[in-house]
Amino acid sequence: MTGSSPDLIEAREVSKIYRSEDSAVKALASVDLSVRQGELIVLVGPSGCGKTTLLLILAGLESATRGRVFFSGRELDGPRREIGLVLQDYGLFPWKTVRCNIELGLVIRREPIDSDKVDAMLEELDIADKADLFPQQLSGGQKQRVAIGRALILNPQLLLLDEPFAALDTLTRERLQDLVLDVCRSRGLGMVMVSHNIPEAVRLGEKIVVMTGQPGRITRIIENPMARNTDYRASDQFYNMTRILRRELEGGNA
Amino acid sequence: MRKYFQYILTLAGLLIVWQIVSMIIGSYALPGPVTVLQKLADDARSFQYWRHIGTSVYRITAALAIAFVMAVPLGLFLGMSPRTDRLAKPLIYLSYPIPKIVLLPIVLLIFGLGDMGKIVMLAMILFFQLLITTRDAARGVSREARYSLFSLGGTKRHLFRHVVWPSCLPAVFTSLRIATGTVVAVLFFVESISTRYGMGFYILDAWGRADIPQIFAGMISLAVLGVILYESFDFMERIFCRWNRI
Repeated sequence: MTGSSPDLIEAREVSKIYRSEDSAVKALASVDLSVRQGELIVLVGPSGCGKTTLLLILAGLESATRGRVFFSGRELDGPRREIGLVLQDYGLFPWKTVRCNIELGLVIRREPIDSDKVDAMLEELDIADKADLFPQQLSGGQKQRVAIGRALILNPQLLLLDEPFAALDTLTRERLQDLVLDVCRSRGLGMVMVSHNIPEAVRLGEKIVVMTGQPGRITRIIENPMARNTDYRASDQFYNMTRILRRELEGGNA
Repeated sequence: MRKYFQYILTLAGLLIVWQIVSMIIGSYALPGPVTVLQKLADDARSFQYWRHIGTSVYRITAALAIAFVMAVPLGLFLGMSPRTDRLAKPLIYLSYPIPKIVLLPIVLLIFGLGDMGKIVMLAMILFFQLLITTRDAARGVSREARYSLFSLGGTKRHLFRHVVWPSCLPAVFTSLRIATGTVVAVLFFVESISTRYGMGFYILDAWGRADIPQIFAGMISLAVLGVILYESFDFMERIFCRWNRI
């Protein structure tokens, strides 16, 4: 089925119910969300509000119980190469070297491996000297760079990130936030990131989508156009926006 | 290198303790290491001794190969398919605790008194160890690993090749290493019945003739066989699971 949306990805009236033998949990209720090419969106909200579920539905890895998702106007029926996914625990395979992890998408899709392209990717992500190491020989930040490289090697148009920097220290986290911004800007990628971290949401999200739980819903979308500015983190507007977002989240939890 | 040094050191310690105990309880009941090693060196010059060794190695290798070929693919399949695993679980849990060795008369009746009956008995015992370890390892593949692979466009076939199989390999090697101990112990038992070759027969024959040094020579031979098997699997794991040793 073909829709008429000009959006890169669009979730329409998406609901998700997880059923087991003796219970049913409503994870999402009638969620509408759209992401345009190059748009950076961060999903925030309390634990269990369905952020990750929504992200997995946008990735084509989980199906919606009701509602539909469209990617470039076509109904999404599974994972696509134009959608890259980065997970909190990196999702790297410990039996593959950094290079093999990055090349895996090409191997799976039986595409020729362009060594120069892989080398350039390793260089861009500042892990060129780690190419022949295994993931367990890397720091958390380096692992996440590999996970980002693995998603980018397939030239996606949309990058989905599920709390990618949650386990990292503050400085590494900020460096990687800048890296993600650079990558998205230089390639014109759309981005949807799940985050629990208020400053991170304000730094990265041009739109900050606030969700509440039981069942998961979008309660507010905060426009944050300043997120494009490189020196935003040091500005007064940044702290004002973190206060606004905190108040919004505390209100949602109350 | 350090590992081999530790082996030599342990061996030297054992020989010293053995010699001391032998002197305390008398060399008839427990001949000293020099007597036993002398007996082993004498026997090792005979074709007959190597025929015993060769027969045991053949039975062990065949049993390990049969158990591996049957249990590992089945374990991977059950681990990857929860529905089939649920159906198979009662059968596995009911049959696993049964001491398979009591089935020896039936196995020998069905598969004959020759090599095949003994190999099948050994393979049956190893089968469950390998099956359960492999199945549990395959079950342990995380949801995140699956999401990662599927998000790259992977199918179930890719999941098996790039995730399930490599993640299960260390567990398979561990179960093979554990199996070496079991297989050598059971070998002694199955080779005590209707055979004229194998290390089990070599030891029992010595017992019948009250040739105590030969009993110990047989025990040492079985121990060395166990160590060689164990180290072989360890070596293979170092090659195929290099990532797991970092």
